[in-house]
Amino acid sequence: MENDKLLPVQIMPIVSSTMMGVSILTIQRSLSSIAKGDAWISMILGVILGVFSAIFLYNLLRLNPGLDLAEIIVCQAGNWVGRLFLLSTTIYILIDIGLSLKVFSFALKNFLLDYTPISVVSFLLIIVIVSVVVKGITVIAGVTDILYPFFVTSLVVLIAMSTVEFQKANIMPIIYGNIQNTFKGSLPAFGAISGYGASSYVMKYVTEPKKAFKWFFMGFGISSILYILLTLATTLVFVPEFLQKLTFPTLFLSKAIEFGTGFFEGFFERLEAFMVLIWIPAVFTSVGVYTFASVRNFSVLFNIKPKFQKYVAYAHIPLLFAITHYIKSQIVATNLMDLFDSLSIVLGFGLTPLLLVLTLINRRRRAKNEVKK
Amino acid sequence: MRLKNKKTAKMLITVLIIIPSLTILLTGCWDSIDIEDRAYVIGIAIDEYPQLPQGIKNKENIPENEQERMFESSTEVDTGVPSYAMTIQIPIIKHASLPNILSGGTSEPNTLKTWDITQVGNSFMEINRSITTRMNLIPNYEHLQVIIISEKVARKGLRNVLDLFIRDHEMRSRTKLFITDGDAKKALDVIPRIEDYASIYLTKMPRSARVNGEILHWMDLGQAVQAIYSGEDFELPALEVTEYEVMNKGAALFKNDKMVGWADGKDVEIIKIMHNVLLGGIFTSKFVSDEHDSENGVMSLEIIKSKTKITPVIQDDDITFKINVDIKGNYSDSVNHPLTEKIDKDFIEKAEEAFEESIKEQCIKTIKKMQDLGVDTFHFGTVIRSKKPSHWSKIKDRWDEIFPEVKTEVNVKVNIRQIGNIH
Repeated sequence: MENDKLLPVQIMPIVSSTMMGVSILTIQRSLSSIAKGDAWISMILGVILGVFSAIFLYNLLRLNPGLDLAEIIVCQAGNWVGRLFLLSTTIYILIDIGLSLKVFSFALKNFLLDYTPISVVSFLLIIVIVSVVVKGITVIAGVTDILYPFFVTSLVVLIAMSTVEFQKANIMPIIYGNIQNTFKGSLPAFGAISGYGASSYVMKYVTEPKKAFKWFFMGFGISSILYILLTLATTLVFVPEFLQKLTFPTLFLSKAIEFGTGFFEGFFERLEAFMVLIWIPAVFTSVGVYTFASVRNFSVLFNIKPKFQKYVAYAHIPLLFAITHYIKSQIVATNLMDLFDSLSIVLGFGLTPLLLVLTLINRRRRAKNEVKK
Repeated sequence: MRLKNKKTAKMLITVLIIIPSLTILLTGCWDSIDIEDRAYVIGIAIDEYPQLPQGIKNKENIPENEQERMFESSTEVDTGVPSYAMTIQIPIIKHASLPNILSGGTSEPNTLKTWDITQVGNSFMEINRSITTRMNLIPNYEHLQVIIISEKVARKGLRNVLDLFIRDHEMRSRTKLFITDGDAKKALDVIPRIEDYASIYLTKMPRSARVNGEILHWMDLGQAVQAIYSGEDFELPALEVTEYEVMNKGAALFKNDKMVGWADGKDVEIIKIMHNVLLGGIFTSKFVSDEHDSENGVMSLEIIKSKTKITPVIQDDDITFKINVDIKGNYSDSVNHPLTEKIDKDFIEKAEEAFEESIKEQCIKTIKKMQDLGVDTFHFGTVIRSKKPSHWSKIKDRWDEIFPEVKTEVNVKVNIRQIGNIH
């Protein structure tokens, strides 16, 4: 794990696919229940928040070269306070991974594997993810390189095909008497795209970090645009009152598409099954990077040497399985995942700026000490 | 050497653990059901219970299968009393090549092309499961093509009826919905002349909407459910059923989720024009030629494109909708008009005016009919909500009272593009 190296360009698919995790299947429901027909504007506002947060993160990583977020926390916030921060971050990320896996297992069960026990679905997902994480970030990045084009293409195709079902009246009138709710919706929207934060655990493995930031923002841009377009598409296809009742709006969108007549009739009759199949690797990538981050958190928190990190990864199997097994209800899992996604605002606009300020203070202090010497 | 052996042994143990585990976990697919063990439901008819549907064939020369009737009238339900009778149509694939002499549920089993099973209950999932007590296959709804609902059920409300069909993962939201004035099961009993199964015959009927505007083609399960959730009034295609045919013309009108009346074919044509979903159709008008005017003179316009713009004009409490309809079409035929007469520019202009008048008349008639029924099938309320949101927030709670009183100004512009092979 410690000898892993990534090319700058590999950051783009990692950032982009980490952002497009399970949330892309569910976020429209939360946004629609808050902002109604203006859900897509909430998504734009969420992306704007994300840009600011990404700038904080970019500067934090730039000022702490060769360190990942777990190391930065301990290095800048001190051994005790830093570990306290790291402990909360570790728990947060671990539970978030478990929730994402559980929600995705429910999606698989709903649309594909009706009779397969959900615990088996979750367990297999965990085993596959952990087995790749054990191999290190190079393997995760390699797998992402292969899978990324498929699910980006599938999303673009889905959005393009849904245009035939668009109803302009669903988003009209735009932001009339709904400004407050639209802004309120930006919080879960930010939560949904906040997956780019996991790249802070990956950046230190890049051979030329300066070049990587260009690819970081490109990956951020691609996913943000897809999030906005997908939210707009689902809002244009489904009336807000219906959209907020859908468990997996993106998958239901693929069910709602009727494509032409004649030769093409029935061509996409089981599109949702195809979409679920495409999403298995997408979620796998996203959760894989998060699991890697969690492994790093545990390793730094308990000062575990890099050569033992694979055991930390293996320890994630029972931990994640326990979380997925503990939550039995689909509604509880989905609501908790939305809540945890929203809590990422604390990381994006609380912890990251705080660490940035601490980094600047520590640098100035160090500079002063050097001048004194 | 010893170390190497140790490593090899460790690897062997790992492989020995992993391979049997994967064999157990991956190969035994819980969801695997062989295709020949599935019963593909292609059509569903929902009737009111206790009035059990009587297939047309039952009245004719085919004796009823008494045993089956006994099963159908089995009223055991866990909660409450049964209120619906659901019939599913399953194709008997090995009989697909048989001639279309008989189909349906209660004739000679060896000649049937479909197995139509009726079961009663008050929960559609429970009905679905109780159907399995009568068959050796597992019902699968992934290829469901059509749901036919009787008028009586529709008048009680669709919200309860459609819940399962939109909630269950096997169902398709693009499934066609039809409303019949009689028993819904009769539609599944129809013996189609060309298609093998009644459900397939029915599901292909809306295709003709590209040539006939009186066919309501764009409403389906997903659209109906969305309309119910949003509280908008809507319409579903109507069916009239005989033994060998169905007539898909006109629509059943719904307020909230309850059916409140019928719209005829011409009304549907106007509703589609208002919604900008008209794919094609024919409008006729009286003849306009001066010297050849006759009582029976008719000319027809084949619509190729229609675009409607609805603008609300609000003055105090007075609401007027300006409806501008722009139609492009081809002059199709004339009756009681000598073929030797030339169709020139003047004639076309007069014909356009005549068609404009005829379409406008129909628009006004349909609007009046909908206002009398209190069904805002044109979604005038949505137009105000979109274009005059501040006014909508004042009147939305009173919209049902306001709608019958709103004024309309209809302007129709017809543009004839082609006149065919002869002048």
